[in-house]
Amino acid sequence: MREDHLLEVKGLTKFFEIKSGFLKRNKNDLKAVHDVSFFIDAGETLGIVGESGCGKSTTGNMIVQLLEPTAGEIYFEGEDITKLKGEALRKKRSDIQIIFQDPYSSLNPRMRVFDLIAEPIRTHESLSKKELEERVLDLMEVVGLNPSYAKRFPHEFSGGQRQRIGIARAIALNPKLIVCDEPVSALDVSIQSQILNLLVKLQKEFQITYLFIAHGLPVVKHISDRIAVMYLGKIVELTTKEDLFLKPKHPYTEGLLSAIPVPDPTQRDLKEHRVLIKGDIPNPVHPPSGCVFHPRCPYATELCTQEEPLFEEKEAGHFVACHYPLSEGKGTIYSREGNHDGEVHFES
Amino acid sequence: MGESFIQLKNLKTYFHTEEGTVPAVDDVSLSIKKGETLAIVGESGSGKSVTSLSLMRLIEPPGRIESGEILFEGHNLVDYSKKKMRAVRGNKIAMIFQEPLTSLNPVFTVGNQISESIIEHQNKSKKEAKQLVIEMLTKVGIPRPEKVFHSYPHALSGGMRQRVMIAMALSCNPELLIADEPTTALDVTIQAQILTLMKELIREFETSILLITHDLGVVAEMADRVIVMYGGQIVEETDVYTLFKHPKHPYTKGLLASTPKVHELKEELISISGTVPNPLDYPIGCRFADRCESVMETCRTVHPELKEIKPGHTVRCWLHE
Repeated sequence: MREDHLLEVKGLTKFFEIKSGFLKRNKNDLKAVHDVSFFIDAGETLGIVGESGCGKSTTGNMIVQLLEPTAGEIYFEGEDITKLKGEALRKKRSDIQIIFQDPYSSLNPRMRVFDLIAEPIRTHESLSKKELEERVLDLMEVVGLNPSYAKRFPHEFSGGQRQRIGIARAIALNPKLIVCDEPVSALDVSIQSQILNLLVKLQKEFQITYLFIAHGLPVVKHISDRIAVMYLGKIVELTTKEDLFLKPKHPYTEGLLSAIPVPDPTQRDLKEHRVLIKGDIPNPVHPPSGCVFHPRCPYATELCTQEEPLFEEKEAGHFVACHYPLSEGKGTIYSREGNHDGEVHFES
Repeated sequence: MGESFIQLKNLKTYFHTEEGTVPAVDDVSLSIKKGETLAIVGESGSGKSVTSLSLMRLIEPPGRIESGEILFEGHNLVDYSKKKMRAVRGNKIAMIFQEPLTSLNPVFTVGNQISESIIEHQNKSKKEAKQLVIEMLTKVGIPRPEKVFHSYPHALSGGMRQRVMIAMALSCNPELLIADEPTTALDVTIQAQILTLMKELIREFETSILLITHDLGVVAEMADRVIVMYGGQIVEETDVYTLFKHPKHPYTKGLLASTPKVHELKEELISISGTVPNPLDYPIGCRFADRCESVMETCRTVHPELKEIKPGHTVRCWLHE
């Protein structure tokens, strides 16, 4: 455990028991997260990307202690928080906060904005009425909400503004780490970028560390320093943003990259030759043998069906779980199209 | 690509709610040519979905088509009776929706549901219909179609359900396919599969498509022509290449700039400030004025008209008068 790692998880695992059949006698484990390890340095943003059911949200929920891990350790500032109880745990909770995906269901509709933002402060600190008011109005301003709206209810706000309320709640206690669980997925494109820019601004201002969870690479790319790609409960690749986009080593990452529609119609014919990942995501109750990705992998061999690849550091800071990691430049969108400058040029 | 075979003329669809009247579609005119894919882009509340529902005459109270024409094969669909409309719907104009689970009936098998429209519209026997359904399921890339024929929708994955929807929509060989956010609910690898499939089928069946989406990436891959909607109105219309290369309306420019681009290492993400105006109380001037960086005096007082600035390129903006 290194000092500069704000958070380090080791062998994090969560199984959910699924009961089925007559009198629910058949028990199966849904392996939502299986032996996941990573760290986040103070001040950095780690993105976690993956499709439905890959375990990204479960991972986030375990880190904020909303779910208890089946196995594994979560070190926060050198201390294993899975072992904490009572007052010690309560204290740590104020350092780790979460922003949820759906700003419509995550705010109590009967509470006014003021009370929504004051709630975490009341729980963790004892401030006078005046100090509390100052603090809440100040927070509203910081996240770009008009303080005169403090007496309003959540339904009077648009999705983007509601997410700002959620962000104000999350930063109210000056946390060190915020888990952002798909904070912009429910928002319109023009509002998404407002919220992303706000998160970046807050990070600079208050030195916050983010674990940023999303289902798509485009959103994660803008905010992350490093990115972890998850598939069926496992991290299959983890590296810096630049390496992930320029030289992905895992075939799944390559497939994810090539599946993203390019907002440039002149590239559409080139995209016809893209690597399409075939098939569907398998049932996590009965994951495939060997490498979990092998049934959909265009490069899978006999070995992949039998032996699970180790999650190893193949290059400095570049972790991959694959028997045949892609060599540099092979199959990436950049090398194929040879065009880094697809920028939109405006005419005035 | 030939003549335009379906045309909306000055269509107005309003919703009469307790709080007031919402002009969801406010004077929209458009036409779709044979074999063409026309995309309508816009954010929530822009009126893109209500436009397509109006076209299918699927507007329920408190919504109503107030005025305008929907011209299809020389007839005005607005005047059609419910019965006459049923013969068009699913037969000549078919639709696929965003969430295939809610648009498929959970208590009937997949085969049963697709056969229904074939038997209804094409005078086929049950046996002939089954054969056609299995043929269609194979075409949309469903493995073991005989088994899927007898399955219920809940037993299929999201991607498979959307394939079933596409098979159902294309089973009567429609002239126009309306696809309302067809891939929004799907994971990105599955989205790529469905988009590729749709492109193949467009080529094979020569179907015209009205694609409703908020995703400019999907537009860039699929569309021939694009309409950008904002506040119930068309603000820009042009071919797909011009839209991405030389957008004219400040809203279109903002949308393009705020779309995260994975394929560039550029960091800056430009956003459009503010939020969409309240549809119960649109400003008298330009509806985008409050969020526009180039706003002028006129914009706040006079509503701009849709003007053709170059052949085939129209914009609703005072900057381009």
